[in-house]
Amino acid sequence: MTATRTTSLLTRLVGRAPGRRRLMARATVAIVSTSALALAAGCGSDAGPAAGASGSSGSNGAQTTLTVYTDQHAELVEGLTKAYTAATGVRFNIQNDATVGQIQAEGSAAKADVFLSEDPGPAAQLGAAGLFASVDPATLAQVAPGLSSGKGLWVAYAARTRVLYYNPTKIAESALPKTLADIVAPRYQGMFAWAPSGAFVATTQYLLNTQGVAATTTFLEGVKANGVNEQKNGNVRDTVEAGKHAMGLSNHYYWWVLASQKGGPDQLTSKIYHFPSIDPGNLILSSGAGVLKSSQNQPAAQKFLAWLTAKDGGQKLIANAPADVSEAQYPVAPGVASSVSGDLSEIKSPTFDMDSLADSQQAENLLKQLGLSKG
Amino acid sequence: MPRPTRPGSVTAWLAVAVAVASLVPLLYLFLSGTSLSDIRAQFDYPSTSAAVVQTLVLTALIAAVTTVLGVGAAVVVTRTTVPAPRLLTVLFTVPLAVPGFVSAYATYSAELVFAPQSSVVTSLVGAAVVMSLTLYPYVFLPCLIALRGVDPALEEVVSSLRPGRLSAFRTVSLPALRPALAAGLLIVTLHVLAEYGAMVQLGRSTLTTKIMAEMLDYGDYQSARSLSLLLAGLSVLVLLSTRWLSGRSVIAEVARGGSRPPRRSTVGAWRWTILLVSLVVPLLAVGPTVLMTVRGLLAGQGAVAPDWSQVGAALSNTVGYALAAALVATFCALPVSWWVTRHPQPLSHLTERAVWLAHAIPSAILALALVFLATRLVPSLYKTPAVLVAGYVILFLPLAVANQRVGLQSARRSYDEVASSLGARPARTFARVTLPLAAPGFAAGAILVALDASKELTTTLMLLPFNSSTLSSKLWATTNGESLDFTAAAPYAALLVLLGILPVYLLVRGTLAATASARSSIKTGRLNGGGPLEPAGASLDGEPRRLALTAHP
Repeated sequence: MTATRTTSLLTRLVGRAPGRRRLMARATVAIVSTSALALAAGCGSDAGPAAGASGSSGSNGAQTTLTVYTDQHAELVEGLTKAYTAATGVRFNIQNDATVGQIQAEGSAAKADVFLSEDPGPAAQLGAAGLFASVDPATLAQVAPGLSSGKGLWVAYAARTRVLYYNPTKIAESALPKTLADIVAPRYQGMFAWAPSGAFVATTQYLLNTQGVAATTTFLEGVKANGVNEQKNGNVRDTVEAGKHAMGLSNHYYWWVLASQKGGPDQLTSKIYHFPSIDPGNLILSSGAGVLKSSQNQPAAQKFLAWLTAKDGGQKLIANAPADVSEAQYPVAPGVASSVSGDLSEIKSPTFDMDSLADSQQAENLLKQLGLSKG
Repeated sequence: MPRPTRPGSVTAWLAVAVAVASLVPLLYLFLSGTSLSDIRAQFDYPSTSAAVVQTLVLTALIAAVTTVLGVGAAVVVTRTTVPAPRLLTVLFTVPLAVPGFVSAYATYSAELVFAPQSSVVTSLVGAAVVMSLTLYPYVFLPCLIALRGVDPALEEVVSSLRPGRLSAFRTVSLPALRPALAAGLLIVTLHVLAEYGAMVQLGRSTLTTKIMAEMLDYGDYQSARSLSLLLAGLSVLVLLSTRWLSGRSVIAEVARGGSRPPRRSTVGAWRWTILLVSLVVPLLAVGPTVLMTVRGLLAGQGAVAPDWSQVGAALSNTVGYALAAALVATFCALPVSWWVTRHPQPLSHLTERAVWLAHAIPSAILALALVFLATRLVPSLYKTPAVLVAGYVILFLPLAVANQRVGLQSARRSYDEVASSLGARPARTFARVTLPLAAPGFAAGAILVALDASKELTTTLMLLPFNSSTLSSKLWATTNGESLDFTAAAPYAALLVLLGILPVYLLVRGTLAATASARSSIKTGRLNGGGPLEPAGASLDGEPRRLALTAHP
């Protein structure tokens, strides 16, 4: 059945050819598609419901299948969804490494019920594109204020912070800069690594919003002159740990992941440093969860978000999971602290509207102009 | 379009259909919006033109290094009395088993472990060398076939007319090498143009990393598509220049019947030095990956054991998808390679070149194109293995076409004519004469498609059925903080490499067997003074593949 369908559709692509030629095109396509199907039939999915089953769900929990698109760490999403299945019977189709582009390319055939982002960026983009339905106010209320979309289009379910890594064999803790702005001082020339990651763009956008173009440009020029671009936050961590650089601007969890791989924080040479007072160098960035407007499973999807952000639901799991599963990300419900990295409320991040990071075009353009962009 | 003449017409239409189908993803670029002003706007930033320049420099550097390594390795194995040439051939080919991004990350990590202060791997030249070490087998294999196939009689003729150690090589072997080198370099350069993961890890900024940054980091898909058009333009230049490189020379045949294997230079005491230097190449290419994987496996002891049922499922999916892709690609490539070898004409050449284009855009763009098309045309197949396998086929079809051409050219057209003059129908001629002769080329193409499909990551991640996995997607899922974690990833990396060694072995064995049968006809050939030794039909097996790579009208 599917082969015939493919045939007719590809024939449409090949174009309207008269008689014999058209037959020929059809024949090729039929051969190609049937053999593809016959072969592919042998290698189905590992487990779980087949594709296409997601639409056929009712509100009855036992039969519901939610399709989750995510760019979050795969093991964390696997842990969260498995726990939810165990608690409610709701099953999941998971698309890892999902992008906004994939959802847009799917158009009206979009499959996703829920999107779980790692950084605020993709969630903000989907919200701005009008693809998210509003999150239940009760769900938003479960999360510490200021972390979710101001418009209520997505809810924070985890968070990471910007930090400075340092290698004590290269620099003493007392010699570290007291603020992010300090790091471009001449005495730190050539001593620190950084990466043009999404979090760096977010920091730039925050600086633009709060300090203006001139101050931000001066700071970035200092970074360019004094720092070493190591391309990825993971590389920043590895090079500081290896002693190639004295310091590195990165996100907190990379360090904790390495610590858990090596058998504990005391196995690492490098250390994490939070700037001592409220500072853009300690910026908190949320992971966002949203329900797609096109979802046929709105109530079930909203229920999942409610569980994800509940103290006794997803938050407890994120808090207690080992670092290789949670990536040491912070839970965001007040009163729940990570067993690995601690309590988010202790992080001295400036308060700001997370939705202000939705449009980071200005930061991107500035970074590109200065030659500090990614790619 | 001129109506193709009779014998080729069915094939011609099939070939055109395949080429059009493989170009369909490019339609997405236009359907979903691109603009020249986007490209212009990107060039307002100095880093864009710098990335284009770096793309060109890297492509040229890598082409040069892979030429030196690939041709050098082929010369060592076929033309010198180096010890253990068969083992060396296998070792030279082994880097094909390692995915590029794994190799790049392993080399980067190894440098951090053993020389933390050094920045060689991420320098321009260092990155070019790391990339070249993973890509040179694509040059080595066709050059190996070409050099083994050259008739020594031709070289002897040249030597007798024009003494000098290298004149025979220059006059006979080099022209035979040109098409093989062109075929290899085409694969290499298109790989370089479209490579993302390895380039980022090696700290290089290219047009493809720009495109991916626009998509993934800045969410500007239209700019990404527009820049992809520019990349496709570069690929067309590559397609044209490798066509020029392959040349138009046709080497005449001197003697019919048996031919001997090429002469080997006696390198005497140097043979051990040559062996040692040769061993360094595969060692540098796969050493870091093996080292980091073994370190990871050892460090992983005591930690959570991998879930072997998941590993097994990933393994069987990988094998299943790869075999499906290889088989479908073989069928799809057949009309294209048949038409271009049997009816070389502008249209058939254009068709053959067209299938390469999809190979040259970043696979993330290709995957998005397939998402776009599948959800609109065949929504019920989206997120089933069918679309994934179709993606692999489009991506790797050129590998099948290129190798089938080699095979079909060794089954010369005159044989078809002989067969038909004896009353054989075309189908029978194909089954009894052409196919047996072309089989090694067909097999090589299928094996390369399967190998590349099993390593593929970007398209796999996007098109893989829900809740399913392959070895490379599992490997990627263990990444923490954008970095491969060689403890959690070790079982998958090890399996992926071990799995890759089987096709590599088959590939080398096929190549060696095809040329060894030529060698077996030598002994008798000598006895008979080089004349025809057996009835024409019986000696067909022994036909070396030299002509395959030299005839390029």
